[in-house]
Amino acid sequence: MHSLAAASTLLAAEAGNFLEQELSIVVLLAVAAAMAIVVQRIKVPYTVALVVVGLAFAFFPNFVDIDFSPDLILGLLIPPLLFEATLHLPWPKLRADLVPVLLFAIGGTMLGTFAVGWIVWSLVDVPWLAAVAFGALISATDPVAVIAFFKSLGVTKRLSVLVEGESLFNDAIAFVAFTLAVSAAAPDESFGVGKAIGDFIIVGGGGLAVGIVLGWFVAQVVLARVDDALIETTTTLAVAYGSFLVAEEFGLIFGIDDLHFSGILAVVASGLIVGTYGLHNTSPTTRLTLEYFWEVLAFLVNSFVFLVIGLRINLREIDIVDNAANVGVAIASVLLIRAIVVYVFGAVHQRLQPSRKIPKAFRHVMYWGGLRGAISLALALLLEESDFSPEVVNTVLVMTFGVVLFTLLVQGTTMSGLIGRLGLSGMAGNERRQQQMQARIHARRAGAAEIGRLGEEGVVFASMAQAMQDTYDDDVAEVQAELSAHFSEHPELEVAMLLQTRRDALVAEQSAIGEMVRTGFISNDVGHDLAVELNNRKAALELIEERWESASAAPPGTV
Amino acid sequence: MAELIYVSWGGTGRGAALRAAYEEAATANLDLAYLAILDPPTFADLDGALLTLVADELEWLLKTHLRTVAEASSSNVECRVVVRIGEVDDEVEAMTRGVDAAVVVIGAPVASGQRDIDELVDALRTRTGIDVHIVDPED
Repeated sequence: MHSLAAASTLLAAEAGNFLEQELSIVVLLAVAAAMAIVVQRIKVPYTVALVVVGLAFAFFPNFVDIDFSPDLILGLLIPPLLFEATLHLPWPKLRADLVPVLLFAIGGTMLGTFAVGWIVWSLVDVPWLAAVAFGALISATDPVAVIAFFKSLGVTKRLSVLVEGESLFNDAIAFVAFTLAVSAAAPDESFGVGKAIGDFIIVGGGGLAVGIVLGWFVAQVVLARVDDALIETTTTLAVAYGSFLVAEEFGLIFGIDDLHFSGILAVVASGLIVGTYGLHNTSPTTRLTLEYFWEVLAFLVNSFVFLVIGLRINLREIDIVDNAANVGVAIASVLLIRAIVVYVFGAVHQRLQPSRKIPKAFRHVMYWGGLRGAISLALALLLEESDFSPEVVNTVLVMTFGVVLFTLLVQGTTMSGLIGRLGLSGMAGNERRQQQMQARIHARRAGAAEIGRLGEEGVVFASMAQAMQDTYDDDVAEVQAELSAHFSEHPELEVAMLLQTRRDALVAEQSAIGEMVRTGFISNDVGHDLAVELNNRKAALELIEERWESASAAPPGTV
Repeated sequence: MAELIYVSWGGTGRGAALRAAYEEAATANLDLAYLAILDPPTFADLDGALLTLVADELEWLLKTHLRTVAEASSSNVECRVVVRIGEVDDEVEAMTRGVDAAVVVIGAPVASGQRDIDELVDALRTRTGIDVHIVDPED
């Protein structure tokens, strides 16, 4: 009887704890949604606003009570973030700039790991391996805020591919380097350069292999043969988490002790394979469902990572004066090494691939746009389970947070100005004016049509309806003349409009095919073939657009 | 009828230059052949199948662009679009050999590789044996 009462008390306590956690998650979701609305008005990067709000939670300790272990952050939140990013980075675009992307990602991360590590080890009171772990985790760049700016300012897509591609690979490489540094710090481990390189190749290569195999299976078997949006979307979710788990627990699955591969690299590889080969094998309906699903999931996960991390860094408990010098050293070293990575490796790339050189303005944006975010913070939190002392872990955690905060608040908020000064958003104003005029024409035509309907139904006198329609026609003709003059002044807009309209038309064709499959007007097989053909045309259009942009960015006077 | 061959590659051949070439053809009473070249400096990394897709899509886009220019103009010029894959010099020469080419007009010199524009114009004059010049949208 007593044990029954005890069990029911325990269950009640667990249920209470669960409800508290659930309530906290609901509060975080509400805050994330509210911030998304606010940032649209104040034009601050979404992630910057989330970090600030997350920090503010430290002053309201009872407001949210959420218990996320570092492992849970890494295993639950990071895989979908990376998978979603790779899904939208199609191979043809990435391949065109693979040389600079890999140069910045591999060379930059390795240099960042050891050079930042060395500076921090020399000037801050932390052991060598902790400094190397910091160098690795802080080398992971976060493109979320920068890409949001690129989209709103109409920056060339090539720059987005360079920034996203570098970030994707350096996240993965930074994670492998970080894991190796942390495991080398374990009491029974020794650290040697040869062993580290060997481990790096095994852990990284194994992760890539796992991701490629699982991604290929999903792309060529499931997505190619099943035509059900729900099943296919669920499968992509399973492969995002599955590739991470299989790689991390590879030894456990196959009965080999202590064999772990990089889960992060596995996710990147599977996402690239599914995005490149799998999406082409899906119907238009499935593709739309998949894109919406991953967009929502990425939004949720991003919001959670930044808010939870803001919660974990308890500002009230940090000795700001003691840590200011360490944070200063960390920020200075990160900025210095980032400059070397972007400008020196940029010069090396110019020699390797003169025909695909990266314009100077792009390099300035890549330097100042090297923000740090979710991956760096999640990795820093993993140190809580390492063999470093709590003081060392705290120092690294505060330095990481300081660098992330600096990059988001200082670099993030000045990016827009830099892009404008470099002339990379030159078309935005003209495009906005063009869109305004197009919208006016569209809206006025809608108004005229509504008046026509009211006139026909007898709600308005026919003569009045006709008079109003004529006035509307005059308005439309006036705006059309303005638009025509605007195109003469800015001929480049004509090409941009041509490309945009073609893209919209191809999407409309895709929807029409989906509808014909849904109503049974054409078979699934025919629908699938047409969808593949349309996807190819869209890919070709994107390539043309990207090459035109790249060529326009080169210096004038050459052909 | 003899043709004015308007050549574009890389980032050249945007709106203003195409309009100027169209009006030049109208004034000289020539047909207009829009030759778009997918040249190695810009498209070398694409494999055969992808390059064919890009050529098809580019042809569709340029036909539309040419129609837009024609509709905005008061002149009436017979137009066609040809997309070729290869080096600029080789493809211009091959194109002029097969048709009654009166003049070759190059789009505004924006970019593509490292070659000097004047050097290219001279080379094209020698290889085609006809007048070659750069279209100036300001004229």
